[in-house]
Amino acid sequence: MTLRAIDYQAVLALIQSLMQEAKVVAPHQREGERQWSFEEVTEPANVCLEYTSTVLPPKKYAFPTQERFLRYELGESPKAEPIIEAEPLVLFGVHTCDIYALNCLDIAMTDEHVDPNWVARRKQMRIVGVDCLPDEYCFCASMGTATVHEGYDLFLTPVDGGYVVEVATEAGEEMLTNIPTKEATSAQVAQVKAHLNKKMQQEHKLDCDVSTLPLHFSGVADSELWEQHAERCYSCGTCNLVCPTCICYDVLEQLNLALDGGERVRVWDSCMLEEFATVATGENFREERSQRLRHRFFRKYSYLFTRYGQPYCCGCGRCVRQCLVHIDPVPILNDVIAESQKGATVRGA
Amino acid sequence: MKPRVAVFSFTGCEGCSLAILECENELLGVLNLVDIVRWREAMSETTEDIDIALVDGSISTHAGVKRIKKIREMSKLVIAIGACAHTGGLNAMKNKYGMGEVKEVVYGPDGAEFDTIPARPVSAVVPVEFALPGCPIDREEFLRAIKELCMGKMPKLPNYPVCVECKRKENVCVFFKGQFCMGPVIRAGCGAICPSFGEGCEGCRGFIDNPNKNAHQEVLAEFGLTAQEVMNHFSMFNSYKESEV
Amino acid sequence: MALNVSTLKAEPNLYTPEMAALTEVVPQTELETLFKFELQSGNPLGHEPGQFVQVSCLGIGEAPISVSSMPCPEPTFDLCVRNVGNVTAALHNMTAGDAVGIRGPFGHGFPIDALKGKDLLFVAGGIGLVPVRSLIQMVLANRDEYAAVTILYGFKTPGEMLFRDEIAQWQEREDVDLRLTVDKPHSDWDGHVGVITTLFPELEIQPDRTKAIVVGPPIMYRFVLQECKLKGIGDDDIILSLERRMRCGVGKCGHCQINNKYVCQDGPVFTYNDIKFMWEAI
Repeated sequence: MTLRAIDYQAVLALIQSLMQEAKVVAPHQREGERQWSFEEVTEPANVCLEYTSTVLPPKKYAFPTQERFLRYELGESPKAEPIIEAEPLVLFGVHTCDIYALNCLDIAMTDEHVDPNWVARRKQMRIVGVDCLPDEYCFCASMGTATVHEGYDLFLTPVDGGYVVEVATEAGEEMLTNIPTKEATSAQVAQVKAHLNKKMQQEHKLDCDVSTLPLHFSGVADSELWEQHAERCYSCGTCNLVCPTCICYDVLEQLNLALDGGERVRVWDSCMLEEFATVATGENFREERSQRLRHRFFRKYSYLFTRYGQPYCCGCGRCVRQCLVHIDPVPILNDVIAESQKGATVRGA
Repeated sequence: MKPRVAVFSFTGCEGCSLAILECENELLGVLNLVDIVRWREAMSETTEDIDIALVDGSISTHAGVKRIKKIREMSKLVIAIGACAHTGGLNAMKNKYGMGEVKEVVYGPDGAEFDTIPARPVSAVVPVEFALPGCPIDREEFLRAIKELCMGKMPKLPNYPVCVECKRKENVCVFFKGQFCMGPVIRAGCGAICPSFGEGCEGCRGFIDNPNKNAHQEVLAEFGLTAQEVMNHFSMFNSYKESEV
Repeated sequence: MALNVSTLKAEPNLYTPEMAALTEVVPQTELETLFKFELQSGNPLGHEPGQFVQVSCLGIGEAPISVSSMPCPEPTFDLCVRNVGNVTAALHNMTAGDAVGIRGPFGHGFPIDALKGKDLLFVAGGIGLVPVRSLIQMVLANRDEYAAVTILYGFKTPGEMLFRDEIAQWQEREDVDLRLTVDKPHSDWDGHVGVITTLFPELEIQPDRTKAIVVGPPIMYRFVLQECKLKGIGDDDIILSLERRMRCGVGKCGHCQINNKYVCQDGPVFTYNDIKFMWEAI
């Protein structure tokens, strides 16, 4: 790992030079306050590197909201062939939480079977991270995602006069060829540490160490807390649809108008939606909103955590930021923790 | 054999049958799939041998009741198209007044002889195989339904709210821009067209199967609507009640 | 530790169905039909009893369906399908020569090695017989590898009985104890009447050497599991197959998850021991 110093003008030059060889996407300000989204860069100066969170995570570039993956012809001898679309892409200005999430999904998308579309897109992706200061919804400090150690090529931390850039890979090194950088001074390195210290000061936090979370889920399946929190839930799926670690999808057919062929597409789905677990006979295995809310939490903090050894939540706070009824994972998790500790006390008594 | 399709209009602006004609680029493709055999707005021929009847408008006259029953008898499938036919739509707003009062307000003293009854969705009068919601119907959804019917597949409406399509499009929630939206409780399928253009959803596609209406009333109030305004939002397209007809 | 995706070998055809021709349609009941297929590649399907395939009717959709024939060296296999959804309805409109797409086989089938040398108690309700048939065929084809074989098969009305000709053959065999039952008395039925659990009291079971294979509608499991336990069969010796909504079949789309298991990958066949603490399972 090497640390360099880069000023703002050089960052713009870096974006400009990357645009010569690949599609570059970065956060842009949206209409309304405090709303951003990743969009293709057309003018480096329009990139907004000081942002809290985008509406959708950069996951959409590895796993598009709607992705065609199969083309077929009907008729006398029907045939089908895969569609795998990928292009060189630079994700510029990605926060640690979102980098963590992409790393998580690398595991889920390649476990047992390797998803060809995910891997094709990820192989052509380079990532420039940028550090942030959290808002009141972020809980990355609790989730252990305020820092990441891999999954990026360059990482920028704001300091006086620009950024300190960590060069993490050879690809990162190459990106900086012809870009003016300096040796990072010890004062700048100290500022990087100070930035991180400040980032870690979050009021929005869990009442336990994240590594013990799955243990707290062992006795709360029948708790009333799920119904209590689901009372105001729309079951609208927003929390899942903005989540960087959700990968559930539905599959749709898109027939052409001549009915002689078409494409199969996958679209982002949500386990909070009413028919997510309904089978053809009509049986719904998670009929109640509270059952679906419970499943969402168990999946993120227990099932996939246990299966893959890390939480499938990056603490980005998008779910609560976008939720009109303010369903916040942190107080729910703290209820889970409290309930499980209460149970432990009763059992221990 | 291509399915024989007829289009009928009842009480409404006929905008939904017009929306079919507006599938300009696809219209010839549609005509390759189906034979249009009866359609007041587009042709002069007529027939009583119909596979698929597309019906727009609500049923709001005695004559309309008789006519829709006749259409039901001569059609294999009856498909309600558009909000008026699907939920009663805007027309059903009159139902909470007396019919005498309604006629008086609209036509003045000469109104008494007009034939009017509380407006109802087509499905309240005859069985309907499928309904395409919306004011007007969504072109993509209409084309998909036609293709699926021709493939022998019964179309299915999404049973999730507009929020899903809004998020997939990465719209900024209109609530965060100071507007009001029925999206969280209204059936998707329109591609979240209104929020995508910066307007709140008005609910023209009807409620999802199990909307959390209580939560939505609270949210609308939290964002500043009075109780009466909340009611208006809920009832604009969705005021039809069986008990009022 | 994040994965290095650049070293991973993708499976380009993971979601691409292989074409198979419908060779024969064998009507079964009002709702169910047996379809015989042949893979165009000429390769055998390569499944284990209890596994499923994703069947594509291109333009209509894809649905998970259990393979109901035993493994064989030929490229042929059977699917017995209930007409309940868009894909299954499309299958019912097909005739010999039509093509479908097949992905798979997927998931874990019945644990054949653990069954060898054991008394086998098959308990099938309704279309639960479909996946079980594959295993029964295989057991009967290698009959000397197993001890006693008992088959209980229950259905609502006589008209809903599947695989009639084959069941008649099982009935003839002296090395199979086959017991059929219909839920309620019916004019076309002079056999046993009552839900499938009413067949249990008369069974003589040696719990220490019995494996029970139980497949049926969700409601059936609770009652049959209780009977199996009354007979002293261990939780590890009760094997069942679960059904869930599926899209991908390979552990990605999330639809088939039951607690921490994916039915498509970890199942569809589970032991009761695997799932007894999973509140979403049964």
